[in-house]
Amino acid sequence: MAITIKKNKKAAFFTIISIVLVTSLIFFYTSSQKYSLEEQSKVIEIRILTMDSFIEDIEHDIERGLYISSMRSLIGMAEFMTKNGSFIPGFPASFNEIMLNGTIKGSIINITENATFGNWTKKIVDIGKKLNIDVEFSDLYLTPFHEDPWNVKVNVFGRINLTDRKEVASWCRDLNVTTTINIIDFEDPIYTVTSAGKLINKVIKSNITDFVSGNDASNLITHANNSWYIASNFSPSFLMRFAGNLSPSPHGIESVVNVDNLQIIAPEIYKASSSSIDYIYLGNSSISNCKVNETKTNISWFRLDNNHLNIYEANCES
Amino acid sequence: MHGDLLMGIKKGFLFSVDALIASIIIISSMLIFSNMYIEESESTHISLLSNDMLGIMSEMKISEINNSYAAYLISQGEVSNLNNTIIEQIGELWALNKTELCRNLIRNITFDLFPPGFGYSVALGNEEIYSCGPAKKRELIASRKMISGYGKDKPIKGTSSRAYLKSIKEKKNYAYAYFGGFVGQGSLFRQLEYISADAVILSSFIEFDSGTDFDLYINNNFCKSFTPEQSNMSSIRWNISSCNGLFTAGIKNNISIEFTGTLSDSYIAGGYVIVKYATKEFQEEFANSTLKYYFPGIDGVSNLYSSFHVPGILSSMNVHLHFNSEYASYLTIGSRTVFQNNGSAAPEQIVNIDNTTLTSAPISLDYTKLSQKTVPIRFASYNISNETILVGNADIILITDFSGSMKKAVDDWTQGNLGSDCNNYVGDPHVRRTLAVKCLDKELVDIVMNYSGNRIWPIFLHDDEVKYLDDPEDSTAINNYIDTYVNGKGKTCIACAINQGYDILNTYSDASRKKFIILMTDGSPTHCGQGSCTSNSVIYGVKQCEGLCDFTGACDITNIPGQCTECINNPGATNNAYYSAQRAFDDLDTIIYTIGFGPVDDCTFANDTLYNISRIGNGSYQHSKNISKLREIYKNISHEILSNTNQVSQTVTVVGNYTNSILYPDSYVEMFFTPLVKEPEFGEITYTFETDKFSSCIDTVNIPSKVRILDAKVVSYSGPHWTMNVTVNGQEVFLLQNYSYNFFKLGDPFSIYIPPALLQPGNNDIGILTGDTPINKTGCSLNNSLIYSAAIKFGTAYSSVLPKAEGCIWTIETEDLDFISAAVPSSYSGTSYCNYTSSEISFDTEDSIDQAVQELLSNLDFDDNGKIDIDIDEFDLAIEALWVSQIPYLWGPSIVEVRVWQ
Repeated sequence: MAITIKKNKKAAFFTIISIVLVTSLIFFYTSSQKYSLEEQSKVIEIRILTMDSFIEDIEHDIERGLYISSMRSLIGMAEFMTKNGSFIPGFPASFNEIMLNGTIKGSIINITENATFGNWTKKIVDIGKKLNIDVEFSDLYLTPFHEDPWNVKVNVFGRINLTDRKEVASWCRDLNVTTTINIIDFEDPIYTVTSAGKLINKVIKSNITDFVSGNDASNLITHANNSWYIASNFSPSFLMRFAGNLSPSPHGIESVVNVDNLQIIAPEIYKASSSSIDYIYLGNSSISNCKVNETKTNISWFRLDNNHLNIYEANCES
Repeated sequence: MHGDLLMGIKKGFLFSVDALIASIIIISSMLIFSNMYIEESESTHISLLSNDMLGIMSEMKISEINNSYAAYLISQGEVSNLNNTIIEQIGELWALNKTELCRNLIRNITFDLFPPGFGYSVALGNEEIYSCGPAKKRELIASRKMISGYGKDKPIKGTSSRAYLKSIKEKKNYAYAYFGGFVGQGSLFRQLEYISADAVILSSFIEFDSGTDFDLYINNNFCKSFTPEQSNMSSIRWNISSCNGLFTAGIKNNISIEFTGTLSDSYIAGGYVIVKYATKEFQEEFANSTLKYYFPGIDGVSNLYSSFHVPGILSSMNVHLHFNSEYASYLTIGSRTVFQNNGSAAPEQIVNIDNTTLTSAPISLDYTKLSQKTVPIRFASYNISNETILVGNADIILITDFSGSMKKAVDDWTQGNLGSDCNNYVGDPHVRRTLAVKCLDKELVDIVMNYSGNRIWPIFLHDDEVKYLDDPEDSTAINNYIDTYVNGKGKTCIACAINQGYDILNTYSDASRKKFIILMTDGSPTHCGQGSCTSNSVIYGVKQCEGLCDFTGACDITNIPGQCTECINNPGATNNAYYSAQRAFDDLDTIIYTIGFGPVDDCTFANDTLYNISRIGNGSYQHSKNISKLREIYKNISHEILSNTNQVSQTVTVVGNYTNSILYPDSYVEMFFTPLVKEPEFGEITYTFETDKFSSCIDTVNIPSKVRILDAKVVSYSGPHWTMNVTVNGQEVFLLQNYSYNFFKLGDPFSIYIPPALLQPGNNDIGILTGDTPINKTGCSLNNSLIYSAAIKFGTAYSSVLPKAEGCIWTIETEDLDFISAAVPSSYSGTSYCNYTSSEISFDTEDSIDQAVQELLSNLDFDDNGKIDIDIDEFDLAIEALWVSQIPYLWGPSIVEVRVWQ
């Protein structure tokens, strides 16, 4: 009997030991399994975080890339004009070409060399490869526009696809980024093209607001002699000037052509009796105008049409 | 008991071991879980720290942070853009190699952002800029961000400039009035090319080859009297700058020449008036689709030999002729007479010839042949008896085949008719060839020998002999000799006859005389020259015959087609004839005309043989079995020889009373064409160049590589001769004989158009030859030159983006050895000096304005010798520059990395 009890106790002991060992093994096994899954999910999480960080980085840097390439492209359009003597063909659609390829109608624009938006996207693609991420920009469309007379905004619209090469994750995001470029000191296309490159005027914003004060027209004379610019919704905007479009724009700018200077430099386009406002004088329209009374002794060439008499606080010579 | 005790001890041991194992397991598990929990917690925290720091630096603008050091940097001008984010500002300072400032900025911004026990660093482009905190890095987390536009030691922003000639005060330009070829005789009038309205006349010259003394009037005001030296094909240049005040700007000035000598000498045989003036205009008039050639005004004997040129593909043309004359008048364009009359009772006449008339029969001008060419033009209106005809200088070998086959009829291979004579043989189409050819020979003798100086040697192939008469100047003797032969007899050895002619010309003629062989036969040659069949020819050194030259050759075949076949199979005699013809042409410059007499067409081989001989001798081959046609052929050859040899002066000799004929200068030829040269383009300035006088008939001129030629012409003084040939780099651009061998009917160009495409950058060989006939060349003048106008870029494109745009004061050397000093931009007030001189070209290569100006000056320095080639005086050059600054570069993207550790 005693032997039976001993045997039963021994069995119970071994059973308990076995249960403990098996439980431990199961515990450790499940623990290690759990740890492995956590590791894996951690790797995935890090990967996703990396990609998320990268796309965030791209979205942050794209504005800078857009700004640099847009600035160069605007100068590049001036380069095209000086080389070809013509306004930009197909503008603003052709803006896309210069931004992405650095060409206008296939003609290479030097100043955009290695500085196009296309170059920037290529660099991003290269960086992505180093991170084992395939980056693809698609349906990019770049549009220049004005929201005010003195700045050109450039918007890029398109899509960006990021795909992890181990196929852990992929992103597909819309791009819609805008940058702003100030037009001060840029060359006015209308002057350059219509005078065959002889008469050149930079966009310099006039700080004069009071052109004529009583009998004092010195501000107006200074403004006209220097061909400075003011905003005017009778006039074409800076971008419209690239296309040779001389229609009015709510974001228009205008200057007074120094006719005296023009007569010396480009006598072939001299007009004796045209309004001196740039888009009228250098365009083909004929608008009734008169010699400005306030400036007749100092700058006898200065003539204005009715629309502009008010703007410049001037009157016709009686 | 003992067993129970032992059992109890064993149980206790087992429980103890069991408890120990359980404790180990529990403690290990706790340690593992505890450890995992702590690590996770620390990593997340550090990551957040680094991300937050990078986020702050990339979002906050430098002007937005409340930090004394940032304010200090702003106040010191180290921050170029207040809108820069902190990360951009760090990038900017790093790129500009201002690492210390960069480090200080990071430290000042971040030093109280991290809790104790944490370390951090900021790296840019793998370069650690700043590091702070404990060195021990137990846990390290890095966050990264890209920034485009920054590169180590690379500029952040640059400038791009372009330079242009803002104005040219007194650009030197030229206006010409050409007197082409031969303009006479009497008072002459010509309009000068348009002079710009703003022009200031600087100097003026005339360069003429005139026949006698003359007075020059400008706008009807007397300028000066001149006395030329009497020498052919040379001109004299006179300075008429003392008359500058007589020229008016903004118009086409009138130039009048009143000769004070005889009317016979009142002509200009080439020359031009040239006015040099200063203008601010960049470009002059350019004919890009229409051009009017105005005739010179002539009051006296209207006798014009000139030309006009078509600078493109001619599509349409019309002529307006206004003249006053009672005499027969005519106008030729090229070789075509486009107008003629026999005189008019109503002397003032206006003739308009439209394009349809010019292109339809009988004028039928071929515009493809006139396109891009200099076209001779001739107008004459005077009494024809006043033409001056000088002597002839033709030496002619007249070879007549009097072999057996010549007994046949002209029109077939049957026996020909006798019975007629030289008064009526033309009426018999079946006349015997011997009879007909004798008459034709004599008619040719009469025509040619009508002009003294011409000589003829008749040679007959008769009875296996070559016979000739050596009395070349006596036409009666020649005709009598021709009459001595009655019937054909013997073989046809063409080579024998040509060789006999060669011997005669070689003996009696000389280089001053023009030599011709007229070879008439009715079939192919059947025999070779004597002695050359069985042994090497003493002339050619090899055997000339290949089986046909023996006595039993083709002559044994009585059947003519059979004889032809024999000749084809055994062409030795033909080859022998070719060799003989070649020798006569090569050695003696002998022109060979061949005539196929009778039905030569029946033997293609005979036709080919005669054609080939004429090709070898640079003559012509004509054949017919119609006696009237044959007569025409003989006459044509007679007249062609006369026109090539008889010297007919361009001058009309006027004696006794003479009624003036007037050619009015409102007469013109108007051309419409498609230009092959683009007109001056945007940003181009036009300039006129004249080379030095040519030193020989083929001279080399250098064309600068930086110019685009718009128009080019050579001027050729031909005196009483014709400018007959102009070549450029071996390519013919003008050949007068393309219009006619008879130059007398053609105009004589003074200025000859050169298609601009033929003038290549670098050296170009230009050849000019004058002559009276295609073979009578008279050399060239040493007063010839090339005048061309070209377009030059007066502005540059935007330069590369360079770090600065400041400018400098340039010292510029011109070809006139003047030195121009010019500040560019005009507002420049600094002290930097740049040079564009033959000894030094120096400028700041980091300055975009200097770079652009250097490029512009290089454009104006055509031969790259460090001197600008445009004729500009001190203070006349106004170079301006336009620049755009703050142009960013697309360097990078560089990686900014913030590392945080514990």
